Amino acid sequence: MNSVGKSYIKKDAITKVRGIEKYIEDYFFDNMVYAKIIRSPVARMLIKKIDYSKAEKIEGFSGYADYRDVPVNKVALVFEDWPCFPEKYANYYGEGIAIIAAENYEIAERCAKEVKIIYEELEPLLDPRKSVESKIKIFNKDNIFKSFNIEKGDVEKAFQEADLIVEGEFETHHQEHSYIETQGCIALPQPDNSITIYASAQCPFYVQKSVALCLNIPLNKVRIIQTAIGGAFGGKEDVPSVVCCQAAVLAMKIKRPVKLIYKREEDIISMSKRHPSITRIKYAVKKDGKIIGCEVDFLLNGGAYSSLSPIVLWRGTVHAAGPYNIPNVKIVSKAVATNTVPCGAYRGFGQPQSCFSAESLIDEIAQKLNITPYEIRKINGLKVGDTTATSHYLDHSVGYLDTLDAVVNKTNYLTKLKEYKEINKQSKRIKKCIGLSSMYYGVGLGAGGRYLARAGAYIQVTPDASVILAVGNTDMGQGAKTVLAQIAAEALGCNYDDINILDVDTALVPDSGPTVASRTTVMSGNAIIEAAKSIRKNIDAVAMDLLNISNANDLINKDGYFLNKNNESKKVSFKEVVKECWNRRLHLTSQGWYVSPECTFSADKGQGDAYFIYSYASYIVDFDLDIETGIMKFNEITCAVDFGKAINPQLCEGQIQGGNIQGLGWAVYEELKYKDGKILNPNFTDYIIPGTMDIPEKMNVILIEKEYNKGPYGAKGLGECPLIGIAPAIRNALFNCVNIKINKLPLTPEKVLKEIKEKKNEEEKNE
Amino acid sequence: MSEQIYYDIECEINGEKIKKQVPSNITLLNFLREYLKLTGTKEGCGKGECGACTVIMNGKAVNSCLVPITQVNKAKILTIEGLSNDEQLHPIQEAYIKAGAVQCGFCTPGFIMSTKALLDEKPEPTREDIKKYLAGNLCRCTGYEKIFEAVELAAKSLKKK
Amino acid sequence: MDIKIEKVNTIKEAVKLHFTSKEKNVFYLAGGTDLMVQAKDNLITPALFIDISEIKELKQIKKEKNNLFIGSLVTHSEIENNKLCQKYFPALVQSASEVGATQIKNRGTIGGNVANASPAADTLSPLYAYNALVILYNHQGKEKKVPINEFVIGPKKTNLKKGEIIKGFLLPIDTSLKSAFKKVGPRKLLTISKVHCALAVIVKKEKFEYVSIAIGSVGPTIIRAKKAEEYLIGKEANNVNINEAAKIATSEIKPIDDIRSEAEYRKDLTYSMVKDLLLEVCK
Repeated sequence: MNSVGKSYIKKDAITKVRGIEKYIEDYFFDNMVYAKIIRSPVARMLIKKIDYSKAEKIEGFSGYADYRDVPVNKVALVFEDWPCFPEKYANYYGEGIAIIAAENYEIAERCAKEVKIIYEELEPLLDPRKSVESKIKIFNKDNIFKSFNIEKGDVEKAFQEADLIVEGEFETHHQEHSYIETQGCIALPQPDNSITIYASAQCPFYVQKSVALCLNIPLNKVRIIQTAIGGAFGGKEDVPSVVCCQAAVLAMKIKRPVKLIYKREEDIISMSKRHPSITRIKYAVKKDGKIIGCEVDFLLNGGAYSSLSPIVLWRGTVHAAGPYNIPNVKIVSKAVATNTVPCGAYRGFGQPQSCFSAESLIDEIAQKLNITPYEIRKINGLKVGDTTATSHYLDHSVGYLDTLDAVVNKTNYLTKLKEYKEINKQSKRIKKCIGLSSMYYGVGLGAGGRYLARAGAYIQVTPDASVILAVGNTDMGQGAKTVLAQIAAEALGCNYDDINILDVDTALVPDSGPTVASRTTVMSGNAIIEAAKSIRKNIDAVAMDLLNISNANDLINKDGYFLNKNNESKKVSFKEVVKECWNRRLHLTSQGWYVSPECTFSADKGQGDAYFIYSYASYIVDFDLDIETGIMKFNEITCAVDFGKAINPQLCEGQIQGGNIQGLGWAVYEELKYKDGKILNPNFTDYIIPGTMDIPEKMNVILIEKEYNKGPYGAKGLGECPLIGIAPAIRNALFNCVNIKINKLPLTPEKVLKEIKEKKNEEEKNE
Repeated sequence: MSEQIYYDIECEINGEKIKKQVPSNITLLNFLREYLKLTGTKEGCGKGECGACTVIMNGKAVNSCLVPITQVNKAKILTIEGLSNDEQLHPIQEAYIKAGAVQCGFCTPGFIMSTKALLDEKPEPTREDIKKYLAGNLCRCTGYEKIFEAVELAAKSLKKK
Repeated sequence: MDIKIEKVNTIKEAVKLHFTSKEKNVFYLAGGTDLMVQAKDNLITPALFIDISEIKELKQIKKEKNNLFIGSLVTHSEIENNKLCQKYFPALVQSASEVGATQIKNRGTIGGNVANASPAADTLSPLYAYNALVILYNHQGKEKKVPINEFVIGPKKTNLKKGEIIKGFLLPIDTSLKSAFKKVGPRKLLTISKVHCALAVIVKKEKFEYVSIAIGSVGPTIIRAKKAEEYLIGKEANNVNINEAAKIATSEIKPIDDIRSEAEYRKDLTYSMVKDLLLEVCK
């Protein structure tokens, strides 16, 4: 490999360290106004009137818009229930009701304060367990956004034949993305009734579709240009459509560019979150350790609008039984509506929730059978030849056991498990804890998003041999631009530095679907390889000519040069070859279109090839627990991921470390607090994300490459894997080493200490 | 609120003398971004809780979102733009690139300024020193590990010079 | 922000403006790390901020006979790095080192921390433990010294009158005093405390001659655990029942459930922290 596998410097590294990379907040346009959203002050209300009269009198006020100004009052996501501006009911605290604008932001703030909403506060539906029966109808008649059913084999029989049945109920909470750059866009109305929007958005094509629907104009009149994104993690997948529609409506109304940048508090209050979940799970196990059955009931709290709930639910459901070869599985799931903040995409997308339940219960099985958590996973873990819960036969690229062995060996887990138990018997206050977990992850949108499972790429090799590359999937910091440039360089036979990859612009490349589901390397990567084929044909032919090679097998490419494999002294550069191609007026520009392998999922029993390939990961978390305060001091996180191929190893490490710490944050530090549906801590003061002092002393990252035969140079997907298994690893550490079971996240010191005290009381009672 | 009061400010930013009349109730961050169009310094929270707006003022790392403009008079300010020009990067910037410490890059200017302030004060910091000193900067992408490595790399590199 | 900022250059100008201003809300602006946040949140606006940041005499740290004078404009960073503070008041140094993080410490002042009077103000518990005096200067040119526990009267409430300003603090120096500070928050740094605690003891002839235990974030203001202090005085430092002392201290606090933590947890945390601090100073 020439470019693939090298830790090249990121394409955007220099502009970012110099502070000259432009994020949406850094753009200024002529005649631009600054907008502010007017928000619902309660969780549910009937809107009676919106009064702008006082605001309009303020000097510098530039205009307003609400439901009356929206041609089609729907934001296209999976369904279309989220209005651009609500007409009758506002359904969650912080929902955007109207938008005003002014000549500068300070005036806009003052104007916003003067806008009066006359409303009737209504009783909100807040408990997802009560959604279906509730008299309060938020979505359809039963408040169910979506439900799924998976049936494999005969789970009732399995439970009858079981030697051991283990069950539990688990609850997980919201997670707020806390991207350091808040939501924002600038909508520029064009003279011909078209619109251009610059946005901090992961999915420009989603935004394009929703703005076109909302404004009732065709797609070819909506152009979305992605600006550098200051963090997203899924939080800029769905809601930019809302943000951009709101700005666009006003922009079209007042015919001026509208800059809408969210402040931190309103961002946390109103933008989508990770779904809270309630899971009941049961395993049927034989005494030899084989899991023969699994039954799951999985409930997601989708909040006020469906957003991405249908597909988050789908992914969480498909993976709910865990990364195990289980012959009999039944999973029922649903996502329901409540008058709380709508939930959408967050790194892991339904899997952290179901993984917390499955992986926690697996350790309980191990304990009951008197084997280690490693052994139970070794016995049941997926390998080539096994089938998943949807009966998907795994024929290659299954690195699950490799990841398991990697973390166990790296940390000396089995020895430590014994050692820690001994140490803890003596140690009165500080208990040593170590916990293991694992997961598998279907790469891409899978059967749940099959109609979006395609991506485009555009390559232009210019006369001076510098290459213009355009794709449809975005870089949000994870390094997509870099990795895709490396793939392009590899495919074209030039150097990484020769590639200039543009920001995503819906006018350049066809709808390539969203930048989500860890799909970008495969989808855009393969589209690039596809695009490069015809260009490479011309380049290879001319290179052979210049080198006097008659047999194509003798032509090799190394570091931007073409050579004769039998005589490496003669070589010709990519640049020379391209120049000659242009001399011969050959076509060196091409489009690629990649459609991923067909995925299936039967409507009745959820059986089929749910995803085209899976990545795998295992995690070990090691910490010291102070049983007087419940505080954990993290020593080490070890994470091994099989993601096919590390196109840029350094970037992969960065993704794993970053994902591990986000998982740690969700597991232990982060918690949104509520009263009557209102978020009480919409700020970084009291929504605690890990800081420099809160991470483990040591982070071990292990890259495992079980190449995917259809992946670009073997690559699968990585981005979400590192977050998913952290929480259950911590829970398992507490379970195995301190013998406390906490089934509700987050594992705060308050909760941990309560458990410790309760256990102590029980032990004292029994003495 | 009563009529807007203006304030004549004279200060030095990235070595350049600046003289401007601005509303007296803006912050240093507003001043840098809106009035001077130095947009490298970012607003992440506006409340001094994330460090994305960090600049060096009179030799000290501060959250510019909380500095009232009235206290910028006669001050010497260094922002991310002042660390390098088109020709050459500062060793700290090079270290961040080399160590892979830049993902989305939004927290990066703030971290780099804090790093500069740290290394000016403590040219050979321990890992513990680095963690404590940079605790006022939040990053959501990297998990911090590569940022610490970047700072250590920068310290080594600056020592050579 | 709905604020008016007026800069003054001397302490006399500051108090005169404070006394004569007709504005509804008047504050002295130092580093701004509390006031600017509150202004942005519209909690204290419309307001007049009297910018005192350039008044030199409020920035000193100097030894005055058997006391250390710390000016109200001294920043937390300056306290952290000051040799006199390190020598005589390590608990104050430790607390200053944990206020927010670097950027906040470089701007935030001890005067501001006290004037804001949050029960979670980290420098307050050491100031209580050291029996610090607040030096007030008023528009009539008069100075008076008020014990810190009489100056802070409630959550975010002080006894500061119109036309008065905190000039600084006077901390009595006693070289036989041993002290320590501990803070526990949801995060290790850049965090508001769940509980913070400062302890100062004098051990003479192996017995506790003087003990002060000041605990914050567990009541409307800093709480001195007087009963625990009494319990310890006269007892042998090497032989005392630390657990019992910590238990008594815990019984004296009045924690609540709030956004950061729960009352019950704060009690457990206090117990643990007082124990740890006693062990630390008795070493």
